[in-house]
Amino acid sequence: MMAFISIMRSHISISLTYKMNILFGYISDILYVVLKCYLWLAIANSNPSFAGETNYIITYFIFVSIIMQLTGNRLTIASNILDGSLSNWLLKPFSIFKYELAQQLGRAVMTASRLWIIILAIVAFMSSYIVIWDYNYLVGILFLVLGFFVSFYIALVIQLFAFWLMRVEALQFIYTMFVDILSGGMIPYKYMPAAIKNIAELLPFKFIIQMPIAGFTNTLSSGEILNNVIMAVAYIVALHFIAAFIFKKGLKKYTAMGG
Amino acid sequence: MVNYLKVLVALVRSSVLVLTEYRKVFFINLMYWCTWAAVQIVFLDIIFLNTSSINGWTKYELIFFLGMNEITFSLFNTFTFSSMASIERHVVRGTMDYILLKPINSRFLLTFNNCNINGIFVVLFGLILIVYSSIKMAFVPTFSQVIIAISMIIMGSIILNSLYSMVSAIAVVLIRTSNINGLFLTIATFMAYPTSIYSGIVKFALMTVVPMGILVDFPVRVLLKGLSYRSVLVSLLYCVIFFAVSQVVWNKCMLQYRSASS
Repeated sequence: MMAFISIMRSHISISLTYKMNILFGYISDILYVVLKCYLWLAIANSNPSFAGETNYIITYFIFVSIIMQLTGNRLTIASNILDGSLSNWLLKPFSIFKYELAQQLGRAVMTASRLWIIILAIVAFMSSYIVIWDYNYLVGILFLVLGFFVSFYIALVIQLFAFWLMRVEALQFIYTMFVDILSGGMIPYKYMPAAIKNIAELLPFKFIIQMPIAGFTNTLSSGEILNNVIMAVAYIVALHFIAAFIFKKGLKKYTAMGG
Repeated sequence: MVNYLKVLVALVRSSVLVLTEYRKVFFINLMYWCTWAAVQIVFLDIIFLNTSSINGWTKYELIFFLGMNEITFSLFNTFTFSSMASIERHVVRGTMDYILLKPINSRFLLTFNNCNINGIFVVLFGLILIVYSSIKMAFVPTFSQVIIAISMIIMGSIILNSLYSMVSAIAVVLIRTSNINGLFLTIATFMAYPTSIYSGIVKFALMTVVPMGILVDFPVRVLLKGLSYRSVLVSLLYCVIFFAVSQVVWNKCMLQYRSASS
């Protein structure tokens, strides 16, 4: 556990070293929200089916931008496989899965610590558009944590395909697109065509954006909360075993050069 | 000039060899482009469910816009971004020394040394979207319109290259710049939509300071909305100014380089 916490702390320290980089991160996050707001304002003002929904849509996309930051991740295991540095990990008495998880938790802590500035900036500029809901922080945070783990394990499985593909960037892009459309990141679930929504409800992507938002905005019944928690945990366990299985198979194929 | 052309051909040839070596990656990339286009078209289908236009743009005009954006951005991605994104790694590892010591312009080498030839297929994809939407709109461009659109796309790619060269050069001074790359890509997303959806300071910035707004919007509006041909001159002016400024910034930043190697 101490090693796990040390890795998290070291990742946070490294992130804090380059302050200009952090500043650019802030600006990028704010601009992303601004872009989504402009786009959806144009859509809401032109499409009668979104009439009167402008404030809901703007608030929703502010939520999307914040939650995406917290459940997102940047794993490095594929590059370790590609450049052969995975060999070092095979000799260490610490699992590379745990190392990646500790790094991503450190990243999430860093993100959470900087989000309040972004939220303040957004509230200052967009206050007239923001809808105040009867927030349920407990359920929101619960789904946020589950979303983080679902996202981590899906990304891990994709990264492990580097054993066979060497380059996994395209796979990651495909995954990002699936997340965008099926998690509610591109279109809120309530506006999705029924066919797509029914499929999205069964897949794990909804835990990355849609469920945390539904949790925070208190739009779930206790039955729905329970069902979705069970579903998320089942996905996390299944993805963990899938990742372990792929890693084991991949190691048989793995070759590294160097002395 | 001839030597530079020879180097360019050699670098592109080496990138093609890499592409043919990783065939599985190529097919996954192909899958990615198909999925991406499908996602964008589904998105447009949904938002156009109960309306015929958004801010004066019809569905097929926006598909045309999407195609033009694909072409401009993938030219930049193929011949600039995939190579220059590695500058941070060169600076951190000290391998930038090898680039600066070579008897060739460092910006030229870093622009073309790792071309992502896969991107050329995205250009074809963009063309398919343009042809498809043109057929749906019954739009037939004149020869002069085609020439103007091609020249504006090339100018747009040069402006993107100039902007990203400045961003990359800053890596030499700041060392860690992964978030600047993210910021650049976020700003580049703004060019994927018509400038008519923006307003205020954001629109002003996109039309002047960081002219991402004009890169796709101008050529599409020249073709579909009858925008004056003077916009070609505006694009040319931006192209010259930004290329010159980026070269000055590049040279200044390279002077700041401190080798990290032994």
